[in-house]
Amino acid sequence: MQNIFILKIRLILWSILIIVVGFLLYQAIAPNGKVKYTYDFSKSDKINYFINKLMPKERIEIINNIQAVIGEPVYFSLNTLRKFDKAKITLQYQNQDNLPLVEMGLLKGKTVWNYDLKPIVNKTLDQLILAWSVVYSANGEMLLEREKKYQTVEDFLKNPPPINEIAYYNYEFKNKFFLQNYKPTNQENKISQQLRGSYQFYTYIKNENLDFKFIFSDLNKNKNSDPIELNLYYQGKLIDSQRLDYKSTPTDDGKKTDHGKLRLNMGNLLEGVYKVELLANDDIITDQIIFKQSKLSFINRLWLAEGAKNVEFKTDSNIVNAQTINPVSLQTIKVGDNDLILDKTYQQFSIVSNKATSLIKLEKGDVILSGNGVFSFDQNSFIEPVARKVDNSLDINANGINYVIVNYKQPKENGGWQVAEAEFDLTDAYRKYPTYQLGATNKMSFLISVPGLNKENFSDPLRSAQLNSPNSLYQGGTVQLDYQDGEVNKIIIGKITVELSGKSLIDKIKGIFYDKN
Amino acid sequence: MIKINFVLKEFFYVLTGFLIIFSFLEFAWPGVVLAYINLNLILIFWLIIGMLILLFNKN
Repeated sequence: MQNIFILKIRLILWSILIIVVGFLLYQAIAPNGKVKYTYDFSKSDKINYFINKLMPKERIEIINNIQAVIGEPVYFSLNTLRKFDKAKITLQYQNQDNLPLVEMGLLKGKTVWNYDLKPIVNKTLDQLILAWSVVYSANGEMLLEREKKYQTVEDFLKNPPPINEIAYYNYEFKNKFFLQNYKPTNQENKISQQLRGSYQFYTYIKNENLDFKFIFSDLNKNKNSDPIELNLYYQGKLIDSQRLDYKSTPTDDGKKTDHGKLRLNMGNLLEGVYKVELLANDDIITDQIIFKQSKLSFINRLWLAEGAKNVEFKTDSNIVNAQTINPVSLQTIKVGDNDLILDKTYQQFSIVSNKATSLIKLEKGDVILSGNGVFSFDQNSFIEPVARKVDNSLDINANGINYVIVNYKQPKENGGWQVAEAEFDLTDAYRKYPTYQLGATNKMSFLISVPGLNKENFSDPLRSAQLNSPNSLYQGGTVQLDYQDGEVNKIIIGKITVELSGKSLIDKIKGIFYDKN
Repeated sequence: MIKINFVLKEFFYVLTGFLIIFSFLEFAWPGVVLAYINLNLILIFWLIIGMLILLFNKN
């Protein structure tokens, strides 16, 4: 009798073990290819394996047990137990301070920490949707027109207006840009100002070879291997790629050494704008760029290396940001007729300009210049081939924008919270794997970006938004964003829900057999 | 008393099984167990039962 009782207990307990192991494996494999994880940030002590807490702590403030983002960007990571192809992230938040732009991004590459950004809220677009004529496409794209001209998005894409009248947001606008009266010079040009780290630029080709030589050196400030990747794009497609792996042992002795050369030389190219992208870490200096093209404009950001003196740039950027990590490089930068005072290290200073183009003058190098437009060393080589992006610094009226094409869903209201969705393609996401494993656990990194939300500066992004709003009274001038002490603006994060989808177990098995055949 | 001792022994065996299988699973596929179950709690529970069994055997 006692043996039967013990046997029953044994059977029950071992069955529990089998059921629990089965449940864990089912959850990990997700046989239907779909899984959903939620992190409720209002429960601050809750540990969630799949969605980690927002970091860094310094940019988060706990207000009444709710996490508020007070500095940007903040990051969170997503751990999954298998690979998925797509993620739909639903963010529940409160934007009580009416911050103009909130975006969420997925880390795609670690060399330059590039994130694929998707919209959460864009107040400029929200205002335009109310004020302008709206046309929707079948794919969910939206065309906003100051005065109604196009009946469908397809009509607009077939017969677009001049590029300077168009702005875009979260949309790959492939315009064919041609320069009238352009003639190739075949003359050798040189940029001898040293550039640090990664950069991208546009160039223009017509009946000529694309010919660029890059000469590099290594600052040896960190012990990384310092690879360099050079990519050439046409109409958003990669058409050539080169890589330079330095073979000697990496050092961090701080002695500058030669790091080799790369050359891009291609013939028989179609007329148009080409984008060159150089990916390298901040140890790499581009000493010289020697080229035969007559047009060259750097895109959004460049780091002028130490040693440069009296450098001039032409830019079409509405906002010019400057930052340095070198005390010797503190200076007053001229942006048009205005001064951008760079008087602190490790802090970004900004100036808003609503002029079509401005001239930037720097006395010293080792400054990171960035903005929402292009930068060119030579006024004659300036090229502005793409439409403007609708971000928090674009003044729609001042820039003469009449058409905006976007892929944007306005956030919804739900019980005092705003709810926005963002979809990400995970196939080319940067993933971190544990060093040992048989399973497919991996970790991806996301960010929440709120431009202008700067805890260190106590910035006033609302003011910045007003300056750049479509109805702004301030037009055609320049103003330095003077950060004021006061109440810190914030975004309150309520809940993050991640719905992942990928191959089902049956598709995976079919794939194995299909591949073998 | 003997009956409780037997039941505790069964719990001890199955918890040992839990710990071995979970450790192996976690080593082979990081996160598969720790995402849902705190192994520390199982280990503490296992130790308590082990100590109780020793106490009963002593008596």
